[in-house]
Amino acid sequence: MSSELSISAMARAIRSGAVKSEQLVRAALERIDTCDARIHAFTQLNGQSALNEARAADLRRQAQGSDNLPALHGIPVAVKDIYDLAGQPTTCHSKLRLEHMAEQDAGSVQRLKDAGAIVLGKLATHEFALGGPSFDLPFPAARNPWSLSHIPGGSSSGSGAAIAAGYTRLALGSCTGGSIRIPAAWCGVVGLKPTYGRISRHGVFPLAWTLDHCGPLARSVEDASIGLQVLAGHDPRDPGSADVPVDDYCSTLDVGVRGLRVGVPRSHFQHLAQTSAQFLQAFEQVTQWLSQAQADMVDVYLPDDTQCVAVGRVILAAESFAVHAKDLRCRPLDYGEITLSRLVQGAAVSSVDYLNALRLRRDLAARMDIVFERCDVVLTAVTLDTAPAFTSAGTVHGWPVQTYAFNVTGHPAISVPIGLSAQGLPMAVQVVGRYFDEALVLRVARSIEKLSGWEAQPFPELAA
Amino acid sequence: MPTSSGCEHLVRSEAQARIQSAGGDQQLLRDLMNALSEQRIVVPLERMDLPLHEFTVLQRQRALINSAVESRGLSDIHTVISRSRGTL
Repeated sequence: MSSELSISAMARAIRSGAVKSEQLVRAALERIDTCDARIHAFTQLNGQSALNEARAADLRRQAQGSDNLPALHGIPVAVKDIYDLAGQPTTCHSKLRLEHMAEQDAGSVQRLKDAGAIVLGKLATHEFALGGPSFDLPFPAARNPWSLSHIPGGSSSGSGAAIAAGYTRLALGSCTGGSIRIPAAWCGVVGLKPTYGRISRHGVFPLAWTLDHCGPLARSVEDASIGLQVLAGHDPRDPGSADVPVDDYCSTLDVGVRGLRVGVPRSHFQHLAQTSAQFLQAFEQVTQWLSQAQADMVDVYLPDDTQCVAVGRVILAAESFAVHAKDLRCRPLDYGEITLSRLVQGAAVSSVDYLNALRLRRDLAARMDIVFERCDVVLTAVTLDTAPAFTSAGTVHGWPVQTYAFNVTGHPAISVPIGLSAQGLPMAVQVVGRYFDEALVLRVARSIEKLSGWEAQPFPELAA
Repeated sequence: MPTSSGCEHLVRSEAQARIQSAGGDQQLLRDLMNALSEQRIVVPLERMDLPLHEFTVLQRQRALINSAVESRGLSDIHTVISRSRGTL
């Protein structure tokens, strides 16, 4: 039940008394109990405390009436296990953090709770949001509900898997190079990386400070919009947090795309060996839908993705090394093999390398901004093919993805599903906007969701 | 146990043999092992293959960046560490 109803429908049902929060949470827990031994989306499940909170939410609704209930009152959500949840370990899916105990909620978790959400538990991630998929960690790797032999993407692997498996409609992920949009694309859900600074990272374990973004993964664009409305806003505890007014993300969702200029950078991905024919065909179909909906499709050229990826990797290597230097010296063998192999790279990055990467990032961001003089949003690829199988997945660097550029520049970007491949695996496109223009990004994504018919797509049944 | 910084002579000869047999670059191996040693980080030899593969890619990317900074005349930018309070 908790995934069949949209978040707005759940909220309406709770307000009207047609549904109790306890029913929603109980249904989510039953689904998790039935399926998660195969999906492995959760690292920690707070079943009893979630039920207690749901009962308390129902009592509050009964005592106070339905007026002025917050947006997520009594609605179950889940968070990636790099977010602090008071009284629980933030393990980051790592042996190094099994003894950790969070003293307070992360800023964004606090916002969810203030909005009435019930946190079901913590979700799987690649170790420290970096390695993976790995099988030498204290928790199993999450699997893709559309095909258990395929990866769900990452690093927010559990967040994508939990939504696709129907456990919840909204989960928190984090993104340093694509870790929200990639699992969203491969799990057939919506994933929003907002503008750098839009959502607080206070209480979230860092990977690379100047690339890290927090954001929602959700079952639909509307669910993601409601999530962003709750999460967005300035937090002085996060040095990168932006003190910029928060738009209304929901009121313009269904305005459509008539008259909008949609930039299409085909040269960014069309020629690449990793780009599959079925993805290209699906992408062209989306451009035709938007054109028929009277959007103005414009050819645009993005800054060189090779430079974007290089800048992202050098910055990530330097900053993540600074985060982990002490543990790399004292407990190197407690890291998983893939994570260790990536973290130690930072030892070889010089100050000149790092500063040059920052210089080039500034140049790339300026060049990306120029693209938005010719169009209102950019429509491009998230991933160039469907999810690889575990047996051929390799590491993140080999994945056919096109996400790093917008972590480097900080522009908001969303992954929205567009259909299934011939093999029954989800495909998606990416919509990118100007800084802090998440409202327009969501509006275009909502149009694509409607035009593709994805909102009527049945999700995997995952029978017991 | 042979490591990247302990038993250095042994490690280097073993690792060099492995890299050489895999057609890899010994200079890269030396660079990475020196960097790890300077940072007092000890990595067992049997866990060095993947770091070396990653390092090969990273070196290419460092060269690409440094070349782009020079060719685009960006080395005069001194105010790059300003990504705070949402500054982009």
